Amino acid sequence: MSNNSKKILVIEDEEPVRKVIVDALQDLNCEVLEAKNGQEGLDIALSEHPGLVLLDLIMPKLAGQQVCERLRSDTWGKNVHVIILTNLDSKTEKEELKDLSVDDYLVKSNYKLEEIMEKVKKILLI
Amino acid sequence: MTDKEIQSVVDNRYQKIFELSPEAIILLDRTGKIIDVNNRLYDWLGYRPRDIIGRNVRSVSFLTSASKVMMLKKFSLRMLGNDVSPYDLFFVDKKGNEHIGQISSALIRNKSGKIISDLVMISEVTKQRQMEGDLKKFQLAVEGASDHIIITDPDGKILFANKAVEKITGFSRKKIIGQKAGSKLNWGGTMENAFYDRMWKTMKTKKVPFEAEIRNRKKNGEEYDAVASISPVLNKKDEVLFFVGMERDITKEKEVDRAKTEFVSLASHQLRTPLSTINWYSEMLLDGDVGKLNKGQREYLKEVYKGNQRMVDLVNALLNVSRLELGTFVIEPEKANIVDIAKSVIHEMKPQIEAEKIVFTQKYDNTIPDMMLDTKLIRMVIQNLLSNAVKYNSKKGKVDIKVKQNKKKKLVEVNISDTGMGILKGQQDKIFTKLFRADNAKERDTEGTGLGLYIVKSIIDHSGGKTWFKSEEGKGTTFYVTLPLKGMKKKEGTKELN
Repeated sequence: MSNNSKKILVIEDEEPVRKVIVDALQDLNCEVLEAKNGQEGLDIALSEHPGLVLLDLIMPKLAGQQVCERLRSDTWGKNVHVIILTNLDSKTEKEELKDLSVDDYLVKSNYKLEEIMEKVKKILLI
Repeated sequence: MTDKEIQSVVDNRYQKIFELSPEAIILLDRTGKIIDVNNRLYDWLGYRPRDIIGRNVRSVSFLTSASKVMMLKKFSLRMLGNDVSPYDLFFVDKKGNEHIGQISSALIRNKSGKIISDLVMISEVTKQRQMEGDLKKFQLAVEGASDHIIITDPDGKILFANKAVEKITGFSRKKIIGQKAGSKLNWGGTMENAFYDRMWKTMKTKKVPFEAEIRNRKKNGEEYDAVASISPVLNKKDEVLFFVGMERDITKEKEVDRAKTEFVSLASHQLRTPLSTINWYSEMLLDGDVGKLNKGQREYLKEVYKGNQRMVDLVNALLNVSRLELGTFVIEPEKANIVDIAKSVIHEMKPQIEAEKIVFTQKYDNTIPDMMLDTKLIRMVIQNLLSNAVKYNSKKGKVDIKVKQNKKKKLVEVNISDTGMGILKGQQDKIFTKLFRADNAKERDTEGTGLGLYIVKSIIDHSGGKTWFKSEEGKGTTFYVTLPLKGMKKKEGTKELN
């Protein structure tokens, strides 16, 4: 794992949601990067090479599914950890992401922030 | 025999025929005056020969006035030597009842060929005409129906197709008559062979109506969804005379369903987003992330958090209900053991069971084989029933779960019983109704959604099983759920329940 392992990128268009996730991640002593839409997120990911991307699905400019697709077609991005954090839960979305080997698919309202942080810690081995 | 004797025999014979004829016969002269009439008219309408002989048809009372006009018109044509094909007239008997008679007539000429008389024969056709009228009505109804209706012979070859068949499928009737119904030649061929096998088996061997949703193809290649219902029509020997097939195009209904599903999916997303924000911010506050809260603040915030959690549960339950109702949810069976599923649900619920100080007992039949089960759905069923048993129990009450196998009926049965408040007698029939909550349950726990048992029953219904209960007020309730040993059937869909 590269030295970027504790760098986390949060791609989320809802400002309050993004803020609270970022706060919680900072409590884990992680370096946190933020993006407010899919395109910005993709750009930051490709230049900053974080160890984990927390990715929303419905977003302006570029949807989460496409961000993930583009990441996977990049030599660095194909191995980066991705957790989908969304409030969509139909099979269609899950199927779209099936071949993109995401680490987890979490429906936001069904998880405590604490539980999500546990998952982050597990992936980043912290 | 002399000529006179021969003439007398001949006359006599004709007289006999005249008298014994099953038809009423009236002999008219050239002016339309009745010269003779047999007794049938009396049998039929109640008019004796002596009452009417000598009268002109213009003045008789056994014909309706319209029929009289018609008859005179035809009669004058006849007198000019024209052929007139048989026609119907309306008669009125002495009691005033109307009858229909079919008229045919034969001209009688003298030796020099001059028309001297018309022999009018009347056969009663009232019943026949009524039946024809009824038949016509049926025909018009079938023909004009908006549903696709066909009649086939026992081999499925089309004998009749109504107008809607042309309209819906695009195939002309002339073309499809004689073809096998629902074959690749016309609107069929899109379903799997097994489907058609089942269809013919149901109708030909079991001789019962077949009903199913079916996908057809129009002449222009476009596919459409229809609900088909095909019934065999049997004779007294129980042999199939023909099949009547009806289909209704439900493409539009399906589209509406799809739109609804999409709406539900997006609405749930929109509802969940603010809920997760409230959830996580309350969580951070409660954790003291932005400073320590005093006791009162903590208490209030906990209520906010709990209320929000309830909203999340409600949104999830409503989503599940809409997916169950729209039929858009998936069933993904995999090999699993129902006892293992039950044990894992119990393990998860341990804190709840312990908090209520419930005496918990369990009994499993170890011979239950692995079955094809959708673990997620079965978990949901057991979890709902168990949490009800705990929630609506008395303090330190008992909860018992049994999972057993009925080899004879090829079923597994899950029984979950409690020693709780029971379901009020007057409300037992409503207990599986969505959003319904029994009065005593509402009193105990104000937070239920009224959706749990509805979801349980829907899942079990979709899995080919049964759900029922026995309950006594103040003593407790036992819920029974069965599933076929062969397991759940795979169901394609777009949504999972959660």
